[in-house]
Amino acid sequence: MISGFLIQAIINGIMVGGIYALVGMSLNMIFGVMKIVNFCQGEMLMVSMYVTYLLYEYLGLDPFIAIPIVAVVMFLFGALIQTTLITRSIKEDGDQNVLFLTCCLGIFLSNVALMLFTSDYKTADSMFANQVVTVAGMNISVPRLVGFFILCVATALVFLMLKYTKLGKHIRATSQNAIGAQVTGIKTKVVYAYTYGIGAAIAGIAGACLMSYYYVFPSVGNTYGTRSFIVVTMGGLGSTIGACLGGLGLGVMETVGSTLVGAAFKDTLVFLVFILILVLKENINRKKRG
Amino acid sequence: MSGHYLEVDKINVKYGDIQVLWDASFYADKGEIVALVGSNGAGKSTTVKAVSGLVKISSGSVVFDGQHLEGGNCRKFIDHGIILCPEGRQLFPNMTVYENLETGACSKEAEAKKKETIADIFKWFPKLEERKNQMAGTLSGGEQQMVAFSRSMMGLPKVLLMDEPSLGLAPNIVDDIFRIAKKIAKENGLTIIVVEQDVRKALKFADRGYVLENGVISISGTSDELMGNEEIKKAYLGF
Repeated sequence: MISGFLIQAIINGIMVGGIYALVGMSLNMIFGVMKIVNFCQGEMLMVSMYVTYLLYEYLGLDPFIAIPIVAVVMFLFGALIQTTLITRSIKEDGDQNVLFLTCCLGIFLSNVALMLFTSDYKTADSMFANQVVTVAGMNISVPRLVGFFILCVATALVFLMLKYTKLGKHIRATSQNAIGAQVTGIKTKVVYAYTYGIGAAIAGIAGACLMSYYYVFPSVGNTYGTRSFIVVTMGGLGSTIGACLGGLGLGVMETVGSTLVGAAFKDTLVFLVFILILVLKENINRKKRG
Repeated sequence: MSGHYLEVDKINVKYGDIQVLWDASFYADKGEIVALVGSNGAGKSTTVKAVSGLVKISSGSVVFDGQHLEGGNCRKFIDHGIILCPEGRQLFPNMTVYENLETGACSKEAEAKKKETIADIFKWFPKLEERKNQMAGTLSGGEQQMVAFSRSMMGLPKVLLMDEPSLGLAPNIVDDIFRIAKKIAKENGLTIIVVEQDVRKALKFADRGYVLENGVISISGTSDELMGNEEIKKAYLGF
């Protein structure tokens, strides 16, 4: 029976991990293009969850149906932040400026949320709320399953966009060589705005999915922001596939961990493994360098 | 103004507080190949970066085809047909050769003629056709320079600025690229401004040349005149 629990935990972990993977991927994309670490990506997720909540509360929109709207709103919000704040503070010799900026922006956003919505938990029920399907004895929550499916589709769309569209090629070109991009006439500032916007939109999709079975509160971004940093560090900053695998891995680690050692020690386990990975990775890298 | 195709008048460039180019003036006519030569750090690269809009000029003017161009925005210069093939190639290493070329076609006109231009490029450099689906970062230095040159050509330049095309390459590959560039210049009226440390090679390739020393243009003349100049012989040609 213990193996049954384990498989159940792994399945749940993969579904939780989908959110981490997506947020990590968006973080990665922004880093790849602008070489800035975006410390408010978790708060972007939080904002998108409140947007989903508002759409549910005032228009009665199901979180899953609201996804396109949330994605567009978040895209515009991200592009706005990029053009008004971040592009202006990028300096060529060092990124401390942007580091502090995104960090403060995160704190600012969660405090604005606290002011507007108080610290109460808010929920938005989806049409699949509390439904469960049973496959071979495993119970799978339907909202999580649908959410995971949407996350997979979103990931695939981002990949295709990067590979085949003109914008995607410009994003890749800018991330691989900014000077090369400028001398071929790519408007790098426009690419930056799009990239940050897409990053926010991805967080938006993740947020809307998460909202269908989770609740939102002003500091929810903290948990997910930290997780997404673990994900990109595990998968390698800049590697999209690494972020996907890292996200799923982290999710599985959490749920299996809480099955094995109890939910109270879940975070302890996660960070312990994270620290071990960091140390091991550094050692392996050092050996590689010779 | 005497009305040359490209007329650069007394430009000054500063990086922060440090001035690297003083009152540089030169011109180029349609279909002409002009070399800017000089030792390391003389300001040659800065000159072409200023003329292509990659760096801002603090004073002076760049007039192309009767139009006054302002620096700090590469795209505007590209839309006028002034394209820089940058030092160190600056390719996109994890994109294929074909994708690198595609990216070079940024104006509407260049995009519309993309297929024809690529066909031309593959005629000039058959090697690139063989390698079109290979990542640019996996090519040899010479092939990468071919891609960089071709990527600039994709933008349908009227003036091509080549910054140190010979850097780190085998001599015969550089000769190849220069031969093709010269052919395009003479047949299609492309103006080329080339920056080189290899003075002999540059003057053989160019019609005229300017010598830069410590941010100032000190000598100018036709390639033959410069090759015969005693000072240049001593300082750069080694005899």
